[in-house]
Amino acid sequence: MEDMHNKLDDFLRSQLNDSSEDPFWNVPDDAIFEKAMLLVPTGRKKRRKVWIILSLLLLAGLIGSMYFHDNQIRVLQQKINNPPESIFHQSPVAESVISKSKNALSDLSSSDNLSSSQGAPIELPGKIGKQGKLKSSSISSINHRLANGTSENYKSEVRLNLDKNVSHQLKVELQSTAADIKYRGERLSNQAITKLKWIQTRTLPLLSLPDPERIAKERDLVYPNVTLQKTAVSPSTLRLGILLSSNQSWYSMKKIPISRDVKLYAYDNSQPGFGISGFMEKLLSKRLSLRTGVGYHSFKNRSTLESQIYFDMANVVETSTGEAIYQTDLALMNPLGDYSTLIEFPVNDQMHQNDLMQENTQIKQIIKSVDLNASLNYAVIFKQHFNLSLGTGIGFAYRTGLDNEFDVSLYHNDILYKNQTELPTQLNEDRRWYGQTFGKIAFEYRPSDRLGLIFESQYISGITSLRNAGINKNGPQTYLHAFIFSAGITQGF
Amino acid sequence: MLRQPFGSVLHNTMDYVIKMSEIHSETEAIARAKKGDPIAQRYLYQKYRTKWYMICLRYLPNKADAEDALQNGLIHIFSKLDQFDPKLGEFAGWTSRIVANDCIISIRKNHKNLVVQKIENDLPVCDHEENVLDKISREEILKMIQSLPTGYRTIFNMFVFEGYAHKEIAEHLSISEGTSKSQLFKARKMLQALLEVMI
Repeated sequence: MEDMHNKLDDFLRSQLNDSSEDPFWNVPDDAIFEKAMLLVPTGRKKRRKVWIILSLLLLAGLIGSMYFHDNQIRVLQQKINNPPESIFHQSPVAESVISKSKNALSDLSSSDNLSSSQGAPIELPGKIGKQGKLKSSSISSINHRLANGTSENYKSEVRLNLDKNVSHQLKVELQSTAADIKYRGERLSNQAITKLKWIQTRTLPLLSLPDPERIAKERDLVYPNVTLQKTAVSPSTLRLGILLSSNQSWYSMKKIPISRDVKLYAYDNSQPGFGISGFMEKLLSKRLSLRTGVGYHSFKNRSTLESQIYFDMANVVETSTGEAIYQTDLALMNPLGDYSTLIEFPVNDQMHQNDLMQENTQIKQIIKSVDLNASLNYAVIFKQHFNLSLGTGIGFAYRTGLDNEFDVSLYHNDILYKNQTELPTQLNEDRRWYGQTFGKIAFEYRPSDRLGLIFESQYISGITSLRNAGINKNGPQTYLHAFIFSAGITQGF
Repeated sequence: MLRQPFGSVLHNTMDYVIKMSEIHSETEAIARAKKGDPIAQRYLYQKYRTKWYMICLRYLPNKADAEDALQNGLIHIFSKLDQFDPKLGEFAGWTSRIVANDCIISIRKNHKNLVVQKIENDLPVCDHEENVLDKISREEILKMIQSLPTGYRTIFNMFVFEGYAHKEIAEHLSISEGTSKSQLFKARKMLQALLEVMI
């Protein structure tokens, strides 16, 4: 028995595994290969993945560098406020000087003594006299100079004018970043902070020297006659930006007539859509801003229609070649409207009158639209170089294009008949204008006040139906939803 | 029926023929196809399309199903071409296994229960000389296999043509080893009976 089975198996294998091509038999249609190759990821798609990974790495690097940057500032501030103990114990007077310098810095952030006119300049404590004696003086009030007389658009900076006769140039290590010192919420300019620290750190190297040498060097130091005038620096109030985005979208449907014979489902789409947009953002206050924008997006969606139809012999026609073909109009309900199309498939003798046939249609739709939107944004985290903001807004979109592809499968006694068709771009019930609302979170990194990199995540929800319910407001409704992920650049003015 | 897909590319036939002649071996074609060379991809397709299609027709008697399975198989083959290592086996065998797996997946998707319940007890057991079997054409043999019930046909193909063991068949199809063996036995009996009728 086993030998017989083996003989049969060997015979069948030898007959059917022969790969020599008979030009008239068993050659598949080349269209199958063409269609398959369209769906094979090309090098371009693989390179796209590499770009996405590189972008994510770049984002991680930026966030890391900003954290490191902030950390450096914290370390620097700590050094300024807490110099090494070994220097302090060498000179109690130096300790007093440094302490009063620290007070001067803190007074800058807490003083309320402002006047609109030019006043006497402030003198820093800790003048170093030629005899090596350290003198101290009190701090006078800080004067505030207005650039153009308006309170909304004023400029200010802290400038320290050093005496020209300072000659003994000590080698002092200057940090390139500024400590996080604020005056009434305004940030002092980097230049001012650097110079303030220069004054402080100028004394420290002296204090570390042995006594005879220190006294000799102190003798050579010239009075640093420091005047302090404060002006504030204001951020740019207008920003323009451009964003590139990808999105995942889906439908939600209401009042779709569902019965035993007809069911329509919408489900998640595995293919992303893309878009480009631009915006203009006006600063209303330090943290609040109003943004208006225009964009172009494509949204890809899928849905499934299942229905049952009954075989009717009256729909069987004979072709010129004598083949029996079943032709019928099939109602293709879809999320954007109803449409009827003619389908046909070959008939065999297994089909009888009133036989039940199951129909399953895969629907792919691509909506292309231009939208206008407006949003209010609030910066929950606001730092010198980056901010994190939340926003909400409303928009109106106009559909510029619609692609529909329907893949119809009919089953009869487990035998499958397939049909593929494309529909016109305008369906009977769809509408071109629709409204939407959205919420978003955005992260912006600004290496300078003028230039920024922005990353945004947004959820949009349709507030009007993509279907025109017409006179019957209780008719079927379809709403578009999407997650949009964007990256772009901003420019301040 | 499959229609021409929207936006498909049409090739200039003469230009294509010239470029195909630049490929001198299967190894070269595979190396170039891995880099996305469309000419090399088409070279491989033309060389093995009959074999792959035959696999699909053995599993799926309905032409539309077979074409769908072939298309899925082509997508998987050319998407995973980077993973093919010539040191581990032949390209024909590697691709045949991929196509067969796609056919099995298609069958499992459309047929929840592959176990054939009807038992044909009266099938004769026959033994034939080889010269008699040679009279049967390949097309007739293919139709014989296609006429088997889905469960018999699937297990028969997996065991005889793809070389799966009963344990592997049982795991793939979520059946027991015993069921795999009994279904194979019945498939063979049915084929022998069909051969008897033909001869």
